[in-house]
Amino acid sequence: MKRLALIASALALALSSACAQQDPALLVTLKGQFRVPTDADALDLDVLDGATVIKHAHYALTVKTPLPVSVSIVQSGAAHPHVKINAQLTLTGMVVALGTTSADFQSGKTVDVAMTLQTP
Amino acid sequence: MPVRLALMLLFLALALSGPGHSAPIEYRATNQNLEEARKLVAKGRYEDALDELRTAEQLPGNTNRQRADLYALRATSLLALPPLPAWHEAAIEALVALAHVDPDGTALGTTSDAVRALAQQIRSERLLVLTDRLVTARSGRPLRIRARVVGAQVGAPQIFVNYRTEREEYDPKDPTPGFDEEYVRVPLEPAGASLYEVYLRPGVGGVPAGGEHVLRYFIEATGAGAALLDSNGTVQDPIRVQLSETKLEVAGVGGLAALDEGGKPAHPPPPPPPPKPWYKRWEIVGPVGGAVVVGVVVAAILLQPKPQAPSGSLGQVNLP
Repeated sequence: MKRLALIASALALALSSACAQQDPALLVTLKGQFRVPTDADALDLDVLDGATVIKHAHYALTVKTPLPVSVSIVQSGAAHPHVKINAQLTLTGMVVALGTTSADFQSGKTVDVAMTLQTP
Repeated sequence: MPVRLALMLLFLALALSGPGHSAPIEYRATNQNLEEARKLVAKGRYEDALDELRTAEQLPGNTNRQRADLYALRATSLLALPPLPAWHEAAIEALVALAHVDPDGTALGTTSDAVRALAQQIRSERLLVLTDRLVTARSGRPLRIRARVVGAQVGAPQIFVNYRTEREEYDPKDPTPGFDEEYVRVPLEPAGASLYEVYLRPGVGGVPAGGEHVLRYFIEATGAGAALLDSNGTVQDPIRVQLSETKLEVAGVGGLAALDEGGKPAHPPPPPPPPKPWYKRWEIVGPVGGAVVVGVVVAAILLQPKPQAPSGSLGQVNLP
């Protein structure tokens, strides 16, 4: 009887886990006619909620991460339903391209977002 | 008046004593002389026991069990007496007879070590034809006679069954029509290592097609030059089988089922109930089923698509 109860509880736990949705996410793909690392060697991202930068990320680009390149932006809750994303491509500290886009998170889904980096 | 009454009583007594009122013979369930001999052997009065056994053997209706006990007690008594060649030979004769009626030697369990040693010696030094003696068998069916040859053998012996049938109980003073005076002799075919058998089929070779009959038979083993090596049962003392359409088949000293119907036991023991299939056993299905369900759920969780970046990815940024 005890074994049966254990099996039932494990089953319930597993089923509840299976029913949980994934966190909302944005799959941002950055494109541009730039060769890495000859034309660009770094990327900076700013995620803004309104006028506030809520997240900043810096990436050193290598031959393993040529353009187009993607980055996932995930939030565990629903605090930022709408965000703006600014991207900046640099070469030895000098800005070579910029890009910006806005996107809405969708509950339990991953939203594809495309951004084209262009020379300023 | 008293004279007339006496005459009437005398007439009545004479009338009741006539042949028309004779009661049928009923064999006793126990052989009193055999039981008395058993007690005498226990007391060490072996010569008295041999006298009782002689009487016990002559009583009609002895079962194979009783005959086996009788021969075992006789051998025990003979070997307990001062050693004389004649008694030793008689003990051997008793043990051969014991082997014939009790091929498994169950009656030897109550005998002395000397008797068991002699029985073992006999089995190693001479050829014996052993058979589970049939007692009753179903009539109208093929009847299998099976014999086993044990002991010393020179070459392959030939085994024969000699049989005859009678309608019901045979009375030598009043043979009924249909009684076969002569024995029919049929060879047994090899059926394995030291095993021989033959089927007596209804309506063939004098075997009755059905009804209540008595079959008497004995089995002989012959060697080179048709020399008789052993005989289980004899012309004078054949094995008696009641062929019946109503009685249950019985054989041997322990009530073994007779073998007929093409070698299958006429009344085989009921087959054991089929085992419960594993998929109906909760103690197996429960844990296995639970494990499978949990495994599927875990796999579904692990295989659930995650927001993963494609090749050329910079990874994941988690917002606060």
